[in-house]
Amino acid sequence: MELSPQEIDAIFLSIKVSIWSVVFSLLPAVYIAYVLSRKNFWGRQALNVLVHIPLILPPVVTGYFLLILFNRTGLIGRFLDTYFGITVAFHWFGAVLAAAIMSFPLMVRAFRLGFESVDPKLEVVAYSLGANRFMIFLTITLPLVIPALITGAVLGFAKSMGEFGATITFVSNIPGQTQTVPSAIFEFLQMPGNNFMTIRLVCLSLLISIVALYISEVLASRLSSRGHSE
Amino acid sequence: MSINVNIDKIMGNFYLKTKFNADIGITAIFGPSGAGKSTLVNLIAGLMKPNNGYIKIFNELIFDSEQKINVSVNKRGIGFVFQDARLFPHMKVEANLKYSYRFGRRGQLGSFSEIVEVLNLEGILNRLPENLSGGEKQRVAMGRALLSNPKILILDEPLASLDEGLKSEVIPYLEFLRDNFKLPILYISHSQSEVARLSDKIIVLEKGSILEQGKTLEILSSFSVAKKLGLRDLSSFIEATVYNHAPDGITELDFEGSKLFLPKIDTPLGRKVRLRILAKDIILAIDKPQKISALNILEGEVVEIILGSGPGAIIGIKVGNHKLITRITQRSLNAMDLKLGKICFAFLKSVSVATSDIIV
Repeated sequence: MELSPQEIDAIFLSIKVSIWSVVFSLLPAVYIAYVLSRKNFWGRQALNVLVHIPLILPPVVTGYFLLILFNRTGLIGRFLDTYFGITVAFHWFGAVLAAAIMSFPLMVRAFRLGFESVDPKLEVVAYSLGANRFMIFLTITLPLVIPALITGAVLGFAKSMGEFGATITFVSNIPGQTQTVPSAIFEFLQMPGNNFMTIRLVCLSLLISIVALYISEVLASRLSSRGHSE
Repeated sequence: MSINVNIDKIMGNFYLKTKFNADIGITAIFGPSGAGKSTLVNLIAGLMKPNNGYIKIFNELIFDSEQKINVSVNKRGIGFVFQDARLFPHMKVEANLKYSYRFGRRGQLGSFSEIVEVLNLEGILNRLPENLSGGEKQRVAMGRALLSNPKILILDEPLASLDEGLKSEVIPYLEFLRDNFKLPILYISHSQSEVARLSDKIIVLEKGSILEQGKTLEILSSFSVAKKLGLRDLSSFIEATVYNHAPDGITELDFEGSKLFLPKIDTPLGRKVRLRILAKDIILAIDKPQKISALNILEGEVVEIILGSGPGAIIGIKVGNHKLITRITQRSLNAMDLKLGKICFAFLKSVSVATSDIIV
């Protein structure tokens, strides 16, 4: 039961896209989650809504916006093309962008819950012991929030693995280049006689998601057993 | 004076206005909840900004509204011990203690090994905070604060969440800290007995203002303070020296030249103890009675007579430098013809000074 090259490409692309998506969203998501949970500033609600927009918008609409902004004549696309010679539309990196934007709100939500579970009084103590803000974040907040960061990152990974609407709108469905597992399943469904391949891919993506979730649970529980906020 | 505070803060319809000094040793900030104790702590710590005024620590301004000085929390040099210990849960005791040295303020008040020894922490250095008892947590919190090279310490209700047994386990460490590190310590508390036992100076806060400040035992024995704070049991707080443990189970103490007899207490000879005597446990007489079962008879002068709106009266008796307050009926007052300046005798059954009131 050999996998076809097309399937193998799709699986590896999906994994690659999902990893990069998490890597790129991680720091901004941590920062925004921290800011949303700790700081009170003008425009906080607006930022909160902005972050959550991809969650409520039809993915196809998000993909459409990306296309408008990032195609070679679009606002950002033209800039990237002229100055860096990069094109993201119809490129695998565009799939990363689409997946990152779609999974961003989920990651921010998970991280934010983590930050909110860290007792700010501990940060106050560290402050009184002479540590500066950055040190406090590094030595108190971050270690206590790591289980939530792992959970959020895995959630982002799983969401990226499953992203379909925005991806296919933005980078289309080119086998070997922009065809992720969901896009491949979609393509197989369009053609008669591919039932077996469809089911195989469905099972595989199911397996990858479950394994990722399991690993995150194990890591998170191992780390949180080192003690969390009292 | 090593701490000078003169600040105002308006928060909604709460107005805090305080002006006080504190020196080396424990100064209690005492008051009921809602009096503004936590607000005052936050203002001194730098977690809140006063509307007006200044805060000086050892003549260095850490806040001044006019000169626009507002030193940040991490540079103020204030060590904290909170009610809830607030140990870092992901760090072992040792890492908690060394936090300041590794990530914050460096410097030495005492060496690591010295402080570990003094607070008896050797055995628990490798434990996580979740595996410590309440008393152990507070000792670690004290050590951590001391190792952060503080200029002053603020202890914010450090015993409030401990039960009686744990309290008496932690108190000796607080006394050691008070007596061996030359630090000004602000001790925030709403507990009369803690404050009476540990502090020499007291600042009584009520509704954001200072009601009274001065020597702890005097202020706590003051009827007006007790009344304003609505303290239930009017008491006198006195200090006496243990001089003999008699074989019949009575401990003899010297109080202003008179003898006091108490059921046996475990305090070494020569040590001072502070006692709390409830006003209702004192009986007054004009003549010195001869055969009476009450052991403690103190001679004093009537210095205060306060008539209540009901049938009662409060009488203040000056014995040496202390004042005893007692509650009698106005009928007795008239029958005995008590007047200011009159000499009388106060009796106290030795058992009426229960051990829980002995605040060694």
